[in-house]
Amino acid sequence: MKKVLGLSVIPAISSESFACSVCSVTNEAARYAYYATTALLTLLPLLMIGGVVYYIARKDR
Amino acid sequence: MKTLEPTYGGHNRPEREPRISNSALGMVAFIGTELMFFAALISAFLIISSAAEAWPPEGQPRLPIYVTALNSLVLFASGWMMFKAYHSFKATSFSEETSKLVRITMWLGIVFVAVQGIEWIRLLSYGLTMTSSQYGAFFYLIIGTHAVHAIGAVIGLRRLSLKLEKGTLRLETFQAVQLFWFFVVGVWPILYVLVYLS
Repeated sequence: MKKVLGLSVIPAISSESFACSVCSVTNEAARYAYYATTALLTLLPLLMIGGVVYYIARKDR
Repeated sequence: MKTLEPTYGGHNRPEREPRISNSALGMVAFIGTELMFFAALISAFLIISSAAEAWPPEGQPRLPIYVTALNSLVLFASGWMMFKAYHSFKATSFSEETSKLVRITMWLGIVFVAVQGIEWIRLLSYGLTMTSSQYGAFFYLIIGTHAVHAIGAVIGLRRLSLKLEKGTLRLETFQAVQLFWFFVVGVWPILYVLVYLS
C-alpha cells in the first residue's frame, strides 16, 4: 500500500513531460512549434472531413 | 432533392444524383491523405528548425529565393489556366480553346518542374545534399515530395489532353485532375514560405 501511495505521488512532483520521445524540445521556440504542429495534425483531419460534409450538405439544400 | 429519370429496366425506382462525383470524391480523399503527409513533414521540419542553434546552418548554401519566387508565379499561372480550362470545358466541351488551355497548363507545369530540377543540380554542386545537414535533408525531402506530386499531376494533365483530343473526356475526370493540380499549386506557397524563407 505504501508503495502504491509512493508511486502515485511521482506524477505530482515530477516536472512536465512530453510524450514525443524523439522530439528534442530544447527551447521555447521549439516548444511552441511542438504545440502548434500537434494542434495542426489534430485539427486538420477534422477540418477536412468537416469541409467535405459541409460541402455535400450545402449542395443538397 | 434532385432525381434522375428511372434507369432500372422496367422498375420505376428513382436514382439519386450524387452531390459529388465518385472521381472527385476519391480524389478529395486522396488529397486528404497527402495533406496529412505534408503536415507531418512540416511538423518535423518546424520542430527541428526551431530547436537548431542556427537555421539555415552555417556553411550551408542558401536557397535560390528569387528564382523560385518567379517559378512560383509560373505555377500560379498554370493554376489559373486550369481554372479557365475547366470553365471552358463546361461551356464548350471539346473546343480548341479548352485543349489549348490544358496544354498551356501542362507546359507551365513542365517549366516549373524543369526550373526546380535545374536549381537542384546547382544546389547539389554547391554541396547541399541529403546527407550534408538536416537542412539539406529536409529541403530535398519536402520539396522533392512536392516535385513528385507535380510530375504526377503533369502526367495526369497529359492524359487529360489526350482524352480531350480523342473526345472521350468526362467532366468527372476533368474535376479529379483539376482538384489534384489545385492541390499541387495550393500547397506550394506554404512550402515556399516555410522552407525557402525560414
